[in-house]
Amino acid sequence: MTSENNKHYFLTKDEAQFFTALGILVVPAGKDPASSPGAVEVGGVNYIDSTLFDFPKGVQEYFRGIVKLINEKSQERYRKDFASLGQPDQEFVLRSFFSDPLTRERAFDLRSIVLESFYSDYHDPSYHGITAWGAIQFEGKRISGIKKDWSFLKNWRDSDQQK
Amino acid sequence: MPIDYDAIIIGSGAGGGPVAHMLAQAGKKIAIIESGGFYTANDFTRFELQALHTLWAKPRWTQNYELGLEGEIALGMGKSVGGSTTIFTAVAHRAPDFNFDEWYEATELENDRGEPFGPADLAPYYEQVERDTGVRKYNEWDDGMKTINEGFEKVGHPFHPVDAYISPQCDQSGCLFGCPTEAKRGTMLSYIVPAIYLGAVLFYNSTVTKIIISRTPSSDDKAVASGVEFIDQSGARQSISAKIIILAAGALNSPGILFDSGVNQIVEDTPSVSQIGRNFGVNTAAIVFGKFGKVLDNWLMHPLSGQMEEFSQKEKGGYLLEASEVMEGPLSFAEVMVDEDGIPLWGSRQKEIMENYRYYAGIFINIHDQNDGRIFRDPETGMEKIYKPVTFVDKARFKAAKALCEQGLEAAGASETLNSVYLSHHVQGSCRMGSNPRRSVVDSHNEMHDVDGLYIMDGSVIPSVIDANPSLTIMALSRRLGDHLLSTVLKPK
Repeated sequence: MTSENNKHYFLTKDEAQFFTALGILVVPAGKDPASSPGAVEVGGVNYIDSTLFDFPKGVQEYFRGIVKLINEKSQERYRKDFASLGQPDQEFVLRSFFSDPLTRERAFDLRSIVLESFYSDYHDPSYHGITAWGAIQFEGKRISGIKKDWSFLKNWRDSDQQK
Repeated sequence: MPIDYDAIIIGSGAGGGPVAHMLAQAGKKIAIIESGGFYTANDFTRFELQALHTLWAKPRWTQNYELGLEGEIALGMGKSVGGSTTIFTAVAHRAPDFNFDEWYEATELENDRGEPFGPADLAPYYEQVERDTGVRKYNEWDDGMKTINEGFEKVGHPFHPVDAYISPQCDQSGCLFGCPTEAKRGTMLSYIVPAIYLGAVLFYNSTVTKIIISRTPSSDDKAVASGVEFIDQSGARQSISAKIIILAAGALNSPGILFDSGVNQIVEDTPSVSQIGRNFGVNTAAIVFGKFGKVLDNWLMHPLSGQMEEFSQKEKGGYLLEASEVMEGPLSFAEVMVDEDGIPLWGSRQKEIMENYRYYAGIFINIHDQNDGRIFRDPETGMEKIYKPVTFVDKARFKAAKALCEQGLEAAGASETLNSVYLSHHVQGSCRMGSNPRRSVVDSHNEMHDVDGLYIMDGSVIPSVIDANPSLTIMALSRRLGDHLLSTVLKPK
């Protein structure tokens, strides 16, 4: 864990807030989060935290750099960090990242990790509600009931040890 | 010093597999070095995330913006034993005859009689690969394919069943994450595992750092390849020697391995060596998805079971259509979708599309692009860069293809359509084969013009882009190389 006030392995408190905001923007919950959860509801920020925790240092710094850059752009335009912006302004910042060829690939990578945190069917060990595959009815032979081993994630490994 | 192996083969995919098996069958001592892991049917599940991490390399993006050009392409390929054939859609079509004329135009590739290399020169090898891998007409169309085809029949452009490396035990449970039934006959099953039984040594999870190339003290002072240095799966550095080296790491990776081996310095940038990484083509692709009024569950299928080739010749349109496609998993589907401006989708609009995933089926557009790309190392940073312009001609081909897709999908009952990013899984041409060394890196039997004993055998040798999924052609060229080696440098005594 990074600090007493922060329950994450890799992300700082500010970075966790950034990914929470981005999670709500990229994969929002529906009107009824119980039947249509979003990335944040299933614990997507913890997925991102654990994934980044195990990444090589260079990749960790790469993602940290993207967060920093987006916050700088938000500050430049709105004098606020990305997480403090209203949704239309967050949309604007993210869209401008995709529109600029110099930042497009980084924007893709950022979006990818958020999509992964939900559409991979991820959920926190303590979350027992509906997950992405259930919400979109991705099912059928060799899919329904498949066991997914999340132990490659630090938070799942620690959770297993506690059992 | 004793030589460790008769041949070292770098890569176990479409290029490395067939030649590895032929040499092992002939009793040759061979080593295969594969950068990815060794996974078999029991490891292949529909847990998409795991498959993307273990079987697929992270997509590499072009950097066309540095040329002031719009339109980046995501280049995807496999990274386990079997290479991209472990995760490919198993479409097994020969290159159309007109492509061979283009090959001669590109590099003056000739056969052993000094004539332009033509379809007849490759036909026996196509036949052998088709037999080895059990290629057959794939008629078991799923609901998505049938639905799409109904629409295209109405507009006068029907699809046809593809030829595929698929045995009848296929239960249509997906291809892109490895085949759990062993119905798909990629190189791992057809060639690599049999080669191991015949004594081939496989180093998997092993990264090649250098092909050992030096100048000979002989009178012609020619460069010669004699071995490979690599880091094995335990992290130990190894150096092994062989009579010949076959580089089969794929059109995206082979140029980088040659650069790392210092080939440009050792042979001092001859016209041929300066071609490494150039003339890169990709069959730039995009997908048009249609949303239908009925549940299709189009992920329970064999992707790409129908093909429409009537527009594939560049004079007739320059695009090949294949269907039906929904990426087999929600994560990949979510990743590729873009809005009307080509900006990736997210938020509530994407969520709504995802909640209707069951109703989507799509069409893959592969265009006949030009070999105008380049893979190289930035001289200042040493980082690899990839340029592959999406030209005005390419865009015009996409426009025509998309218009036809939208017309056909609408006639099939789709209420709306959705586009994807530009992508490609058909990388080709970065170390071309040819008889003119000014236009090619390897000769007509895959040996580098300027380095003895170093053969290249993967999609990089294809002289100009072909209008079919390239794996069958790569495998046929690989068998042809095997024949050549066993009748020349590795001829049994």
